[in-house]
Amino acid sequence: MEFEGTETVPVERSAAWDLVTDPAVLTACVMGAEEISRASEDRYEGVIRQRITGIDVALDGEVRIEERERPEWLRFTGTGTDSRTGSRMDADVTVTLTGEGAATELAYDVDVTFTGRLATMGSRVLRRQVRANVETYFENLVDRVGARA
Amino acid sequence: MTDGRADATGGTEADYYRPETVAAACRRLHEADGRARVVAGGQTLMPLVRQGLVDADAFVDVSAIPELSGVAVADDRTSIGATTTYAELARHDLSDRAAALGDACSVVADRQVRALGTVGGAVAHGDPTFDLLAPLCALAASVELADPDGRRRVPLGEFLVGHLRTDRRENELVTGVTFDRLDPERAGTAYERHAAVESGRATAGAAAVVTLADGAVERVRVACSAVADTPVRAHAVENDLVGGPATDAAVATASERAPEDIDPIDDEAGSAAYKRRLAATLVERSLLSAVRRAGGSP
Repeated sequence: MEFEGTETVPVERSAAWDLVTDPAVLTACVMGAEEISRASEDRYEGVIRQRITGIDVALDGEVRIEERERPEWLRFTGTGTDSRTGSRMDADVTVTLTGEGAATELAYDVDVTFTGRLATMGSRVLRRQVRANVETYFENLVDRVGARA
Repeated sequence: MTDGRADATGGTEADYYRPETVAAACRRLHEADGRARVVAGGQTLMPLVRQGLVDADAFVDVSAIPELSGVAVADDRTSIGATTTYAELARHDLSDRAAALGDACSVVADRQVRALGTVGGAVAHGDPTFDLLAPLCALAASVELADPDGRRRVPLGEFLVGHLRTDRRENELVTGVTFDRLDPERAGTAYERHAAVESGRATAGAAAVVTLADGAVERVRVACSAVADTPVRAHAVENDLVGGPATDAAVATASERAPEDIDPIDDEAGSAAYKRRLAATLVERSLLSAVRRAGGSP
């Protein structure tokens, strides 16, 4: 399933770049993210726990920056496995940063696939869940910058 | 399940409790500290358990609690117990007076789900495609909850906080829903939905509650299902109609504004654009039916 959207953060492009690639910011802005750490320059590891009325999910995974053109765009992939349900999530995300003076527009393009038992939930349930996660991440990012500015 | 794991066939090792009072059920939930699931008809929960998607140490079966079952109609207020099934609600006199409930209960999924699935289950799961939620939303229903310390009542619109997310705390039990009685002489309600045959699940749905006064719309509430994270009120449609004439033309014009308050997504049931069009049509149909039942002749 694919999602795209834009958010504007009120900081210059190089600062926006630092935000997007900071594991502390990632932990604070991803719903249910815990213990995200930087394993190497391009690789982050962590756990995402979420509970909805139907199911509990604990995705144990990593995020890897695959390509980057600092500070214009980056492409990263994320994988997560939930050992209890034997499910796996794969995400491919491209973020393009466009400077607009003192602000930066983040345009994102996200492609997520699920395999295993979670996939049997069907796209009807998962689409709304994943979309809410993507939108919340970028909204939190904007809120975080706004609170600091 | 003691090791927190379902086997390949979905079999689990979990404790099973069947309390006979609300207080005993709340105590079990409290003791389990978030590791227990409430079950009644099991029509939503058990498929998830079989698929291995639900992980619980205990199941608290509330179907033997007499207080939770049945419909109580008082002078000014109606209450529906959490373990009342769709089939029981559809057969009750209430489904003539608040016909939107009967409309919804008669189209939910299939006969098995209607025979076993419960009102409390529909509310507590919070799936926006569940047919009963839009009529309850349009009736301005509140959800009643109990925990070991007491009881509280929350408007349904505040209880359903997101997609499959509710305001229920882990030690709380949904005990029922309640809403103000409508004036039987002047009010009418209806629910209309469309579902793909294969799934039986609403692609979109709309519920309308209309009160007339001298051929004009005195009060109106419209709620849509399956086209946002939660059932949503179509405020633009309501604002367009209220105070005006209850005519076919007025209803048709107002219904075109249904897409303003909804947020459908593309999925296997259809595209977002299709669902916006469908929602407007279903809003119009439900309003026309509600006006007719209210005694008007649009």
